[in-house]
Amino acid sequence: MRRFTLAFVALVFAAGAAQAQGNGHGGGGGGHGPKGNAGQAQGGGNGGGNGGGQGGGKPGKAGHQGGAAQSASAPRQGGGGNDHGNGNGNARTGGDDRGQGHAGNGRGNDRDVVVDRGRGNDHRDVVIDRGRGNGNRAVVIDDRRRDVVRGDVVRVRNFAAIPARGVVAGCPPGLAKKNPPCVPPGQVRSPFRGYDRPEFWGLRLGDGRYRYDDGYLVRLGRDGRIGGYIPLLGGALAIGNAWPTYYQPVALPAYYESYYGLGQYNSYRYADNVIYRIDPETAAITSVAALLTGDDFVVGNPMPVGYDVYNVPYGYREQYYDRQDALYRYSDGYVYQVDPETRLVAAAIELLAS
Amino acid sequence: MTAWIVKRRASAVLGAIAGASLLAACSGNATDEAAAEPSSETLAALVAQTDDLSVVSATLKDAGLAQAFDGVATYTLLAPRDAAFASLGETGETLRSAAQRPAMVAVLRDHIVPGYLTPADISKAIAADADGKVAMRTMAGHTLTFTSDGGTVTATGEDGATVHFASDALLASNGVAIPVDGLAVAVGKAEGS
Repeated sequence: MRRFTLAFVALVFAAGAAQAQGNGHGGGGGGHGPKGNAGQAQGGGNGGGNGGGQGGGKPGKAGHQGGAAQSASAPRQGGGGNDHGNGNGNARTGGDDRGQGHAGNGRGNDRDVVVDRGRGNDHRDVVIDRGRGNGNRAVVIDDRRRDVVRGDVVRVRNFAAIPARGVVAGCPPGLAKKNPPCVPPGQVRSPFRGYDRPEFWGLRLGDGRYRYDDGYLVRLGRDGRIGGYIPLLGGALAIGNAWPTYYQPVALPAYYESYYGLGQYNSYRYADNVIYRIDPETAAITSVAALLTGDDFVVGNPMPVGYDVYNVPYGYREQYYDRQDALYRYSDGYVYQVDPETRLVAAAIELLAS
Repeated sequence: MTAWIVKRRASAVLGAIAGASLLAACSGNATDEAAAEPSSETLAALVAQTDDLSVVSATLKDAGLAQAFDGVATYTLLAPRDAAFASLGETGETLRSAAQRPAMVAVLRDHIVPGYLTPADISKAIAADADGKVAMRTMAGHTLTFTSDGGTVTATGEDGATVHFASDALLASNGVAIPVDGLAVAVGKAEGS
């Protein structure tokens, strides 16, 4: 079993501008973030996690500028989310107190991962066990923004890093065995408007002729035969069905595993903004763990459209409520702070489940 | 611009949720409603307990979505009342059949938005918008547009289908269900059928 410490390059700042740079894919030793003291504003700083190793460094997105510390605790910043990067957490203080980050195995989302460790007992290191159940499989890093657990599983940094599912070439298993193969059943009138369009199924696919057929959306070639297909939630991806082998498992970002209570990567699967629970032994789908928007909130970028209404979960409303200087919106396990004027995403807030 | 992530524990959230099942009147005082404590029960449980949401509840259960609505993640469901399916006649029957479950699930995904939205939250946003029109992302990748006319909130899907808030919202520990009088997806028979 091999365990890696999830590195949050914890940087802190008081007044002064601070920038955090999180870089790198690389192997590295473990590390710990700083232990903050509640309510204590600490120095501003730069966090750089530069990792050697495979793939070279890929700049993180942590572009932070300092500001007054919010709330009673000091916001910490960091260039987190670097897969196994030997990070350096250098706090460049702008205030009296100095925060010092011991960046270790950077691992996380491609987001700016910053941990507020100034909340007393809220501090803890996050540990990812990548090898449970599979011996001491080494983890290697490739240059495609993802970890590869040798053998079969890729741990992605974010959903954008998940290989596009798209249309599976060929025809659904049942039709492939028929003679002639891959010919759709006789033309049946679509029972619903839009039924044969990918948009009806929440899918964005390329041009082509599509048809619903027995739990799949199939794409028809010019010869009328099925040239590709997508299994649908509630259809081919219904409860009790075996997870299709053509959809390789991925290990989602550790935060999602934690927030949605997914367990190990061998107990869930992901496709088209849906996380499914499966029986690890049989690979049978047991339930839908989560529906996702898949919307890409990136700190510093405009908030995606479609978040006009305050939607923060009830338990967080006392803390994150719309103000003159900040809006808060929830999406896929995060609360995002948004600038009311520019509509730029200012922060991503984890709502850790345990 | 600051950028930071705060880790918090959901246990603190759940601890803040207590009390019996509460209903939030969609015509009620916006401030009071927005602040109303939710039930300690989950969204899936409250929907299952509501008589005129039996079609939606059965679909959630059969498709395995009920577990998602029993979990920690927060969703708001515009829940078509049973009468909404009945009014579709044969099309509604077809949609409810086991053979068409994928279609039913696809339709329901377009009625689910992320987070916790009370009717008061939506009304407040509509009132604050210059055009009186606000949009929310659905779990099918589309948007629902909310408007208000005489105090009745209307949700319009991307294909123009409209629904109205029909009765009291169910405030659950992990989300909100707002009963509506129709489907926000145009599922009428295909052209030429």
